[in-house]
Amino acid sequence: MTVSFAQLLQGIQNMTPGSLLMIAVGCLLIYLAVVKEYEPMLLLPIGAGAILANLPLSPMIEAEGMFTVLKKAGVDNELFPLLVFIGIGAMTDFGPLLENPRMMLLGAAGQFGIFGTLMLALLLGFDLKEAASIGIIGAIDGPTSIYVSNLLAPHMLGPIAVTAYSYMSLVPIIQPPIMRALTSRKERLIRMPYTSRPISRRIRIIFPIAVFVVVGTLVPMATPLIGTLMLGNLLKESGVVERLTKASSNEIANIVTLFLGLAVGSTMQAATFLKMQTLAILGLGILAFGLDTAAGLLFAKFLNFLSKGRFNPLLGAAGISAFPMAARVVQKMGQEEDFENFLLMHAMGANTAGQIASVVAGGVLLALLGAH
Amino acid sequence: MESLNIGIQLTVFGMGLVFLLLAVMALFITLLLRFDRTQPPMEEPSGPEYPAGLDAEALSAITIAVTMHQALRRKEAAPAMRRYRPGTRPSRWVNVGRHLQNTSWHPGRRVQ
Repeated sequence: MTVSFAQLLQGIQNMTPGSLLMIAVGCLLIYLAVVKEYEPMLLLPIGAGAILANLPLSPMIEAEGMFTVLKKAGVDNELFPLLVFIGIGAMTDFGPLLENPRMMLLGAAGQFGIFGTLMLALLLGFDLKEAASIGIIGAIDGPTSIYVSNLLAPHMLGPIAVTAYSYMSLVPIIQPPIMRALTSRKERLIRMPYTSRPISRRIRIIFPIAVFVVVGTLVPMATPLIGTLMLGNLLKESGVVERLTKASSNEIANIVTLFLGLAVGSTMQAATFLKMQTLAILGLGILAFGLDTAAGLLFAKFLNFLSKGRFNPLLGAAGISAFPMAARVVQKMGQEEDFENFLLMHAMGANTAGQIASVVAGGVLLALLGAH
Repeated sequence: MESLNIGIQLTVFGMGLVFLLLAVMALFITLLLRFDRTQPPMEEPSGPEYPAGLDAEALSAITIAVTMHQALRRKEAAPAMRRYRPGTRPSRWVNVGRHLQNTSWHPGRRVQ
């Protein structure tokens, strides 16, 4: 058997400028995760996945390679995002929303970014399914974005997931200027008294069941998303399966997050990622976040008008899925104007509504486009 | 133009459906809360937890002993029991002097 020197240098010989650039992108994602702490749970595995998948002749993306196996096992069939949703449901307390169910409407208004961005993407020349996949970045919910885009436009999964997760961590930077621009000081100063209302265990248990029955019946395409989210919450609120709740919110969620991140990162290969449309997705993504915030604020201003000045419009910005960042931003903005103004609990209600609404909106989008 | 029409239609239907679904849920929760008359049970104040091997009497005896010991130590002005670091508060002599300065000897001018 003869071993030629060229065989040893196969890796270097197959390195292309595109793969070098993608390795740089992977390093950038790791930098954002480690140094800036932007969604490190997802961006770090995505970055590592991108680097490993773009190394020359990487066996990890071969037919039986680890990334291919992971992608087939959990991304192509939507399993991983749904398992993550069980964990999210098990970690979420819908108490503030149950105390004030009107906040549901703010969650609905906060989904306008999905459809607004969809329209813009259509105008830019994307086809309908691609435009819807880009629009779903406006759900500001990683697993929903991955789930919907993988069904509608799997070739755009990488850039969409990266955009969604990168911008999610930038919510405290993206939202405040829009909040200041669309509200007056007088509106930001509106105080909303909060009285804690005890929610019985029975209601807490009925709620998740009712949500997946109502939403699942009216929009069957939303059943996997809303079903898993509410299943996790049911585990938590039942109080009788502590081990399952802990496993869902810790072990399962952590393992699946790692696998999901690596699998998504491995889709970021130079041939599919280095396109002009990736830049367009990045641009439209930030626009989607802005539109969500603006629509939420404007709807909250409308509620303020209806309530004759007793509703703080800042709460509209919390009607998105980025939990609990959006609620914290609202509380901070409110306190900047009036230190004794406590909007946090109201904002938490709107924020949890945003979580449900984003999942519902994802299902609605799939139903409207007739995806299977 | 056609794509814009499709986009507008999707937006109207989509947002309409999202609002409708969430409004139904909000209504449902409101009704549920209205009909749910059972209040969550009030948490009864839990009694004191005793360390293993101790009953209430032994614990109160220990508490009294520790309190008396602390009082004795304070009386002896032991450095370990000082509330403030030495030098951060005026000494007793300084305090007495200030008190005298602020207190008139004349009974009619005494500050109560």
